Formats: sequence, structure tokens, C-alpha cells
Amino acid sequence: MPSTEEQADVVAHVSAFGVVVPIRTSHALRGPVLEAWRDALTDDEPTTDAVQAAGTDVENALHHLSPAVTTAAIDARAGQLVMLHAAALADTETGRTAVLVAASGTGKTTASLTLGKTFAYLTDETAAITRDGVVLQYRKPLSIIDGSHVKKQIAPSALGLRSTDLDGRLAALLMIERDPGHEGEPQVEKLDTVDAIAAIAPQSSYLPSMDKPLHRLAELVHLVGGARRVRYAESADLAAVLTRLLAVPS
Amino acid sequence: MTDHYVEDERSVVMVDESVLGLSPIATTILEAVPDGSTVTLQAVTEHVVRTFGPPDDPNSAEDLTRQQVWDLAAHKVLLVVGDELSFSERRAGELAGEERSEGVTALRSALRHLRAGTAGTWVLPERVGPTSLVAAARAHHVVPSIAANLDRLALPRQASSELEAMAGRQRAGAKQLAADLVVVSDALAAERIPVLAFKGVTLAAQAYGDFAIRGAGDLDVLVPPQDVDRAHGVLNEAGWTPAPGFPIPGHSWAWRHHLQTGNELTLIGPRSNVDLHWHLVPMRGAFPDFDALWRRRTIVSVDGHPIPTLSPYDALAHSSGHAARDRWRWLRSLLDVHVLASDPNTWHGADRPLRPEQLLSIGLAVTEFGMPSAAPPIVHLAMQRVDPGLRRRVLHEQDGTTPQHQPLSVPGINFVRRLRELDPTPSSIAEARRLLSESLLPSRFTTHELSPHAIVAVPRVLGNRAAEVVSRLSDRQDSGRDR
Repeated sequence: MPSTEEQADVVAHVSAFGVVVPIRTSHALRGPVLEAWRDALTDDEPTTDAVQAAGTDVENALHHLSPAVTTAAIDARAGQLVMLHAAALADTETGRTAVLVAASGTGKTTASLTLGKTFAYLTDETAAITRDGVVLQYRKPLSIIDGSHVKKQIAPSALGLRSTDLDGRLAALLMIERDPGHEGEPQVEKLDTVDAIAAIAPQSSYLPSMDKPLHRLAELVHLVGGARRVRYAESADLAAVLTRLLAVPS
Repeated sequence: MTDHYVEDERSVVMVDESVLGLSPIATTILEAVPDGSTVTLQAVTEHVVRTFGPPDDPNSAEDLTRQQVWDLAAHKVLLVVGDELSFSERRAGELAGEERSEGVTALRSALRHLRAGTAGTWVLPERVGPTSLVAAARAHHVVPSIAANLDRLALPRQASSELEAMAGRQRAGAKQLAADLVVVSDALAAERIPVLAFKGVTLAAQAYGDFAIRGAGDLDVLVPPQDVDRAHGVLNEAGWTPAPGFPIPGHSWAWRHHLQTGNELTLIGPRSNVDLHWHLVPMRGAFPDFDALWRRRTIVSVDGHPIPTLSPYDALAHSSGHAARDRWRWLRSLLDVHVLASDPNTWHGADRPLRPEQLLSIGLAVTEFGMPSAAPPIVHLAMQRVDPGLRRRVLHEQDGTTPQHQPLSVPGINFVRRLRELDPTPSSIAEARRLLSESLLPSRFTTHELSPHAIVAVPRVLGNRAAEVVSRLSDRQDSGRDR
């Protein structure tokens, strides 16, 4: 009789900002994994070791699989890319991309769910940006709470979120702060470069492993003409802000 | 510092994994100290004044710059080193006697507030300058203790920053010390040499639950007398070499003499020194033998590592005796005694009466920092025994103390003092002989005596000792005439 280890095969290769992560799992979980990760699947050869989706509970296994893939990809690109805890949404016509930086649990996924109906969903977790401002895609499943204590992992396309084949080009860098008590339109405040760096840095991964990391952040801030802090009440309110900032400069 | 980015007169730095935004003045200070260079406060101040102009009265450019520098040091952006930027030493040296005294008085009050655990914030009296308080904390070895409780003390920012920066360095030193302690302890244990660590980081862990709260110093370890030779060899192998002024294990009379009359010797390592003890000071017979201390030992966690040490009662006895030997000149010693005496667990292990000087230490500690709740009767008795005249002398000595130990300059005075502390018992006669031998033939004169025969070595050592006594007495006469 085959051992438990032999029953766990690599069932998928997923792409996360240029890293190809193989996912190993049991036959029983194969279907759910492929469904949840269908928008990140790739035929490319792996560039990391496999991560495991284990256990018999589907939701639990998928719940733990997401951070495992993210971690494997971030580890692989440490020192190469600026990687921010951020959602990224792009204009489907131009590829101009807004990166929405926020701490865990403060609105990135909700903003992605809402804005991804209008803009192309690149990621709701980690925005990885090259030196020249390309925002690499990471179309991971989104964590949706449906009433149980475990979040469900749902593929972006299953949620009706849009996509693009264009390269994402950084055009706006936003520190988003959701305030349910905020009234009216979102408050948008341009930040001095120094303040922007100080605000963004805590939401980055492996920043100290880069050469002159603060200078790298400054380059990105300058690339977009300055970072902004946005205070808002509802995610839908951000649509107008993104439309304005992602418009092609005349 | 990983990176420093400057734009529009402001900047942001990355230190370790922290990112810190800097004001224009802090940015200018940082630019005045290029990477890897050492710059004086004067040069930094001049650069700041050239950039921003002189400050408005009554602030002095040097004081304002110093404050910013200490802020940067507290955040590890700058490193305050040696004499180049030794603010606290130089400024402390400039303090008048009254300022120093007021600083120590304020420090006592602050420590009393912290020990009492009362609600509310202690406020530095207006008449006490921040430099005075910081100098006092440094002189009395309580910088990390004060810095750990800044949320309960209302201090000027300059003082807080300076204390935080100094505490950071001292805690880093304590961490290195803790690592070395593990090496020492493991090396001796591997050779089946029982070892009890005490004082230093071990006492800090035992009394305060924080191995770094007493800062850094030496490592003190106690081994059985019959294992000193082997322990010495083990420590040599582990990287600690014999310090000058102590004989080395072997067949020499000097080594036998030191084992018989001495209590410890020092070994020097690349990062720390080890004081290897085979008896607990200050005198033989004041403590049970090693086997008894070992049976009663307790295990404390020093930076996550289990380290055997004295039982709480033995630690109290040792700390209070040690404080008395130092004439209670450092508040940290009394603080240690107060913390240990305040713990009810300490008294559960009381198996012998405390000696008079130990009781005095406890009495002075509770007089200073307050009577602990549920203190046993002996603590109340100790407090009653504190003579007001003694307390005045102790306070006076504390006002003028410095961080370093100053040996008494009169030859033989230590011998006389310790002789006075002996009880009139038969065992004291043997102790008196030991003290006399130690005083006449101190180890620093025996180091180079390799002969195994006392009849050869002793006359030479006596001759050198006599010459030293004459020289020191002559120096005292000369200094008296010069006045």
C-alpha cells in the first residue's frame, strides 16, 4: 500500500511575481487546489521547492497553503524586488497600476474585491516591484469569510475580478487607511518622500537585504510623482481616486 | 546603519530593521559624522550652528546638540564612544559638589518610588539638572534600572535619551556576558566540576528576573576548593588566560599560599573576565562550605539558559555582606539587597543567622527604599539597628562615589577592618591568621615566585611588601605636605 508521502504529488505550478512554486498535495485536495489557484497556474518549471497542502479538511488546507506559497515566493526574491504588503490594481487598457499599501487585516482584500470589478486584479497580498517600476502579478486566491471561522480561498476569476495581459506599470503608490467614521470623499494627502519611505518601509518584506533599500523606495516614490495617504470609509470610494491617478498624464 | 536617505533637509535612516524619520537638525548632525568616523561634540555643534544659526536664549547650542545626539544614540543611529563624545563623564566632572549631591538625592527618591510600586509618576525636581541625575545613575550603576522604568519617571528628554542610550550599551554588554557565562558553565560542567555563578548577570536574573538590568561587569563563579586547579585549566582551554598579579596552578609555594589565604583569582578573556572563586568573600566561615551551597542551589534563567546559582537566602547573605564591604557606597548594592529581602521566598531558606554587617545592609536598604510588606521580624529589627550617624556617613559617601572601586590607600587598613569583623570564636583565630598572612604576603607579590619552598619565597615577598608599604606611606606624607 503506498505511503502517505507517496500519495502527495505535485499537482500544480503557480506563478507568484516571477517565482514558480510547485504545490504538492493529496489526490483528495487536488481538485480544490487547482480550482482556487486556477488564475495563477503556469506550465513553467519550478524555481523553488514544493509547498505542501496537507490535511483532510479542504478549507483548512487551502487556508494554510496561501501564506506558504507567498512565503516561498518572497524568500526566493529577497534582495531583488521591492515587496510590499499591498494590493495592486491596474488599468486594463494601459497597465498603469496602483499599489495600495496597508497592514494585514486593514482592507487590502476588501479593496481588491470591490475595485477588481473595474480594474485588473494583480494581487491582494504582495506587490512585487522591479527597479524600473514593473509590478509583477500574483493572482492568488482571495480569502473570503463566509460565516465560518476559516476563510475560503476563492480564485479571482470566480469572483468576477478582471485581469490583464499587459505588464503592470507602477503609476500610483497609496498608503490606504480605512476609517468607517470618515465622511465624504476619500481624503488624499501627498506625502514628502521621507515620510512616504517611513510609512512604506514597515509594510515591506526583506527590505534590509537590498542594497540601499531606502534609496530604492525613494526611486519608486519619485517614479510616481510622490506617494499619497488616502483615508476613506468604503472601498468603493477609492474607485474615483484610482481612475484619476491612473489616467495617462496629458 | 543600513541606509540613510536625505531629501529637502530631512532624512530617513534604516538601523537593523527599523526605519526612522529624522528632523532637519538630526539630519545635519548625522551628516556631520561620516560613516566610520569619530567626531567631537564641539565639531558637531559648530556644524549645526553654521547650518541653522545660534539657538535662541536660554538654550545653548551644545546642550541642544547633545540632546539630539543622545536621541540618535538611543535609536542606535549614532554610537557614543570613548573620550570623543563621553558626555556623561565630562559633564559629570564639571558638576559642582552640591549638584552631584542633589543628583544622588533625586536618584534615591526615584528608586524609592520605583521600589514602592506606587501609582503615579515621579517627577525630577526642578532644581536638579538632567546631567546631575544621569551622572548619579551612572555612578551608582543603576542606569538600566532607571531606563527600564522611564514610563514611571517624568524626566527631561535629554536625560531620558542619555539613559536609554547608555542602558542600551550596557544591556548589549550584559548579553555578551551572558553568552560567555554559558560557555564557562558548560565547559566546567563537561569536566564534572560543579559551579555556582553569582553576582552580575546571574544575580540580576535571580533578583530582578532580567539578566541585563544590572549592566555588565565580570563573571563570578564558585567552584569547590579541590577543583580550582582543574577549573583553571578548563577556563584556559576555553579561552580565558591568567590575569597578571595572580599565581598560576602548579607546585609553587605561591600557588599553595594563594589557595590557602585567598578566595579568588581572575582570568582574562577576549570579551569578559572570569573571577574564579573557591570561597565566598568576605571571609571564611561566614558561609557554609561549597557542598552545602551546592545542595541548596537554585537554577535561574540567564538569557534563556539555565544557570546554577546560590539559593535566594545565600544570595541575600552574600549581597548584603558585599554591600557592607563596599561601605554601602553604591545604591545598586542596596537595591539588590532590598529586592532580595522583599521576596518572601528568600526567607524560607533561612538556615542561619545573618552576620551583623549583613543585617546592617538590610537595615540600610529598607531605610532607603521602604519596608517591604510582610517582611519578617528580622528585617524590622535590622532597620532599628541603623544608627543615624552611620546613615549620615553612608549618605555622604554615596554623594561622592564614582563608578569604579577605589582601594583604600593606607597599607593594612583592609586587614584591620576585616579583623574587627571577626567574632571572638576559636575558628576566628584561624581566620585571623589567614588574614594576617594574606595582608603580609599579598598575591600580587607572589606571582613570580616559582619556588616550591616557603623558606625561599617568603623572605623575598616580605621584602617587596615592605618596600611597597614604605613607598605608600611616603606618598601620603608628601601629599599631606603639598596641601
